[in-house]
Amino acid sequence: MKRIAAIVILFANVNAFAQCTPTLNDAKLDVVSRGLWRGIDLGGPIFAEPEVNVGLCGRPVTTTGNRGVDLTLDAWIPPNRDDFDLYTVGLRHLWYLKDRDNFVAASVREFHWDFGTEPWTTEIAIEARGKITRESSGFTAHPFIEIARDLNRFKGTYARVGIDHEIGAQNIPFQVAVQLYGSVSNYDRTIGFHDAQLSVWAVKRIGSGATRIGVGGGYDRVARNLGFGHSHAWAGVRLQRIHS
Amino acid sequence: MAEPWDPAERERKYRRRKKLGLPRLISEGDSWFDYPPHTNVIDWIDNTERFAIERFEISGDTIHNMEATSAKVADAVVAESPMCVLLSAGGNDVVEQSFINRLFIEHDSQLTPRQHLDAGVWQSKIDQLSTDYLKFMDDLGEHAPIIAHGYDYMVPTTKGAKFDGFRVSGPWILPAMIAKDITDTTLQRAIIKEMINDFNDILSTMQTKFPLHFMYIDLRNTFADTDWLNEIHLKRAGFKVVAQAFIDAIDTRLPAVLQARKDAGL
Repeated sequence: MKRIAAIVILFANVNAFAQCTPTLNDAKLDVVSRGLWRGIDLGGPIFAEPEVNVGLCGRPVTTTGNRGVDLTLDAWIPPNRDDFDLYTVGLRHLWYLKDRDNFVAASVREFHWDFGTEPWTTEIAIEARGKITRESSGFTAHPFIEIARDLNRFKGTYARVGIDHEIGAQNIPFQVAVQLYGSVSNYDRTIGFHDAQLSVWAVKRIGSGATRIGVGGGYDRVARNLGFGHSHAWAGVRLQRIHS
Repeated sequence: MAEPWDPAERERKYRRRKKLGLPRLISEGDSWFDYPPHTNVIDWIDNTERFAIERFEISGDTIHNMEATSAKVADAVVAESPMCVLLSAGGNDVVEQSFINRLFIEHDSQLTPRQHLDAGVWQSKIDQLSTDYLKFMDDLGEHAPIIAHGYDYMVPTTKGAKFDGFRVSGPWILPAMIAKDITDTTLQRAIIKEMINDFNDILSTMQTKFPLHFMYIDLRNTFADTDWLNEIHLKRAGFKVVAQAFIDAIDTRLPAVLQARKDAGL
């Protein structure tokens, strides 16, 4: 808990480069049929996955400067206490490139995982995200890459590369988000298998669009069905609030 | 990060930038302001991060519908006190299928380009556009000046608007011309030129008659054929040029209009 508090305090004091105040960006609750994290099967048949993102300038829409900071809290919570719960808090510093669709970022994250002898671990990560468009066919997508180094529990590296694609329009109350990624890691031999996942969420905007409900599903394919790594198809529902 | 067409994202940008004290604008319009597949005119203006823009545009909208539903924009103009209202409208009124299919006369080599337009049908559209633009200005102009753009000479092609590789609408003009055996590209362009000039005349006349309420951006002869993505939409680089024309109008022409409005007690 002290580690989480330290990150939150650090976040609240990172204002040297802009006069910005912390602002809630998004809050989201997914309830899914399988708890999957980096190719690790946390259990099932039901998992709650809440996520809250708070921005301090920069992300996603505030205006000051070419840098931003955000704080993300997310969790994988099983109602079945035999399964494994996982909590994370991450502080991210973003540097925007030509626009806000293109950035690089550095993060520090704390993980609490009620598994094994060392529940807390620290991770540092770098990531990059961009935007690709194919004008003639009206196609837009966002490729991303992330490399994270665990400093305590695994003392290993996790790398992920993927692409996000969202289909929709202002005057249509539905939108569809598709993500495809592949990842590799050199975590412990029995967990953290390389995996690839395809997920699709269909979301309906309610009222002004700030509140959304959705259904989704996907397939997570691990390199080997051993230990805590299993290939799974999953489905879920989503409740999301985008704060203005 | 949400896509720029996401209405919640637009609202969020507006609120946060307004909170930061940036100059407020309101935009209303069609796909030039709301083209989801790529960066459109308002996206480009928004990307400058100079303004807080409350956005009402919907791709495919007509000035006829915008006028009919102008109350919500008028309410926002009264509540938000923007510097001005940015407007893109009229193109969809002209290319709507039930109209464009009646517009052209069967090809006759003895006729001029203008004579290939059914005079009565075209005049009724000109009248409708003029009336709707005037009504829209009446609804809003007292509270904030309107800046609208004319169109450049578009190029009839077989290309429609595509989303994710699927054609969702268009082409709009060329099929109607082909149906009347107007196949010569020079003649097609000459007919389009007549139509675009007439449309620009409507806006130019409004600017002359109502200089405190209406500003017009003339885009004719701005774009090359290769700047057009399809018959009625520019590529993103073209939309950026239009965005810059709006920004130039805001920076260089709007202050004088605002001062004149103030002097006139508006």
